[in-house]
Amino acid sequence: MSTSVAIEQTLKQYVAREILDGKDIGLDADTPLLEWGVFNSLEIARLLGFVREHFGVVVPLESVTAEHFKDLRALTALVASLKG
Amino acid sequence: MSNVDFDIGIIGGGPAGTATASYLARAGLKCVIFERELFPRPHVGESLVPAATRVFKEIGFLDTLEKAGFPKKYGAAWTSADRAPVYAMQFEGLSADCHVDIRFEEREQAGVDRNYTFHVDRAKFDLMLLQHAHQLGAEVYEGVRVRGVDLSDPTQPAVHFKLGQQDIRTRVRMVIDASGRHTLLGNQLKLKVLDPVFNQYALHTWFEGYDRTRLSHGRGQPEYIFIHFLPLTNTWVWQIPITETVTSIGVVTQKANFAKSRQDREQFFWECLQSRPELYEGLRAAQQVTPLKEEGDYSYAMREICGDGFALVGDAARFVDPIFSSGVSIALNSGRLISHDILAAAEHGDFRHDRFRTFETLMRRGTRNWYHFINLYYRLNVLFTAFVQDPRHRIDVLKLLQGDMYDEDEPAVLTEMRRIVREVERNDQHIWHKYLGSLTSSAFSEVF
Repeated sequence: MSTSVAIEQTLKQYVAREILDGKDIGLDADTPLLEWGVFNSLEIARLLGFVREHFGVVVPLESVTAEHFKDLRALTALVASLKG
Repeated sequence: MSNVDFDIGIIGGGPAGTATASYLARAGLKCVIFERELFPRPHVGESLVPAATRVFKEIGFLDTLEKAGFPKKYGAAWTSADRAPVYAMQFEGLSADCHVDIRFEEREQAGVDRNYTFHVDRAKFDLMLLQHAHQLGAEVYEGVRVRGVDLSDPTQPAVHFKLGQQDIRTRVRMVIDASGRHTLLGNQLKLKVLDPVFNQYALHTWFEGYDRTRLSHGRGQPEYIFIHFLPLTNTWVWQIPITETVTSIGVVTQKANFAKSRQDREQFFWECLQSRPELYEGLRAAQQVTPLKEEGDYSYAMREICGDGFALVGDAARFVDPIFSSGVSIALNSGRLISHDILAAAEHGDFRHDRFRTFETLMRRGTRNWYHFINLYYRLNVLFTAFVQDPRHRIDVLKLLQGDMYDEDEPAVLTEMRRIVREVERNDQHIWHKYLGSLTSSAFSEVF
C-alpha cells in the first residue's frame, strides 16, 4: 500500500506544480480533475511524459479514459497496476 | 532539336519553376520561363522548412540566400488556451496557456548542413530565385500570360501566349506546369479534383511592431514560427517573422465558419482573434501595414502529375494545407525530382510518360504521406502534441516537419497515429474523444 501512497504523492506534487502553477485549489485524491478541466487535452500529453520518465511505465494511449483519469485516486491505481 | 525553340518550356516563375529551370539550365538544357506577373510581386507562403536547404545548395543559391538577411527559422511552436472550469475559478496566476515546440537541430537531416531555415518575404525571395535561374542560363519572359499548351503532338508541345496583338507559339520538347494555384495545365487537361475534405480558407496580412514573444510563455523565440490554435473547429493562426519588425499573421479556418458568420472579412478576422485575448491585444497594439488578403478554394489534387511531354510541379500539382509550411519546400523538391528524370529523358531524346516514373512515384508517396499527416493532425490535434512530447515519436514527427516525407511508403509514426485515432473514435470514454475534429476518418481514403 505504501507504494500507492508514494505514487499518489508524486502525482499530486506534479499536478500542483506543473499544471496548477503551485496554486492551492485544495487538491486531494478525489478532486474531480477532469470535470474541472485541470487535465485538459494538452496537459494529459505532458502528464503521460512525466509518468513515463518518473515511474518508468508507459500508459498506452488507449487507456487515457475518464475511468483512469477522473481523479488522483484512479490515476494512482492505473500507474500502480502498470508498475505491476 | 533543330525544330524546337527551347528544350523545356516552364510555365510560372515561382519556386517550383525556377528550381526546375535552375537544375536543368545548369546541366545545359535550354529553358524558357513564362511568368505572367512582373516581379517582385507579393505571395503567401512565407515560411520554409529545412528540406528546402538541399535544393538551395544543389542549385548554388544558398550563399545568395544567406546574404539576403531574411529572418532565420530555428524551430516551430504551438500554443493553445483552454477555457476549462478550473481556469474560471480565478485562482491567482493560474494560466491556461499551453506551449509545445521543436527545434530543427534535434534531428540530423541528409543533405542539410545547418540548424535553421528561413522566413522570407516572397516578393524578394521569388525575384532572387528567378534572377538566379536567369543567371544560370534560363530565358525569362515576364508579364507573359500563357493561354494554353498544344499537346496534340506530345513529342513537340507548343506553348501559346500573346505578345501585344500577336499570337505566339513556342515549340519545346517538354512543358513544365509550375503555374501554382492557377493550375494552368491541370485545368486545360481537366485533371483537377477538389478535395472534399479540406475546405479551408485563409485571411492574412502583415503587422508592424507586433511583439512576437507575447505568447511564448516566457521562452522568447521571436524567430520561430508560431501556430496559435483558436477554440473554433480546425481554426488556427500563423505568426511568421518577415523582418525584424514586420510579422505576417494569417487566420486559417473552415470556409463554412466564415460563411456562417455572415460578417465581412475584416470583422471576421478580428473576431476570430478575440478568442485569444493576449494575441488580439498584441495585434491591436501593432499596426496593420497591408490590406487583408484571402485564399479560398483551398485543397485539390490532380489525377495525373505527368504524361507524354509534360509534368506538373509545386502547387500546380497539388495543394493540401499550409499548416506545416511545406509549400515552398514541396515546390523546390518537386523541381529537383522532375529535373533528375528530365536529364535522363533528354539523354535518350524521349520525353514520354514512362521517363518520369521516379518523379511520379516519389511525389505521389510524399504528398500521400503529407496528406495523411495533415488529416491526422486536424482530426486529433492533441495527438500531434502528445507525439511531439513523447521521446519515442518526437524525432519521427520532426522528420516530417523538416519536410522529409519522400523516402518511405508510410512512415511507422503515421500508422501508429492512425491506430490511436481509431481507438479514440471508437471509445467515447476516451478523454480525447471530445477533441476529435470534424474531419472524419473517411478522409483517409483519398481517391489517389
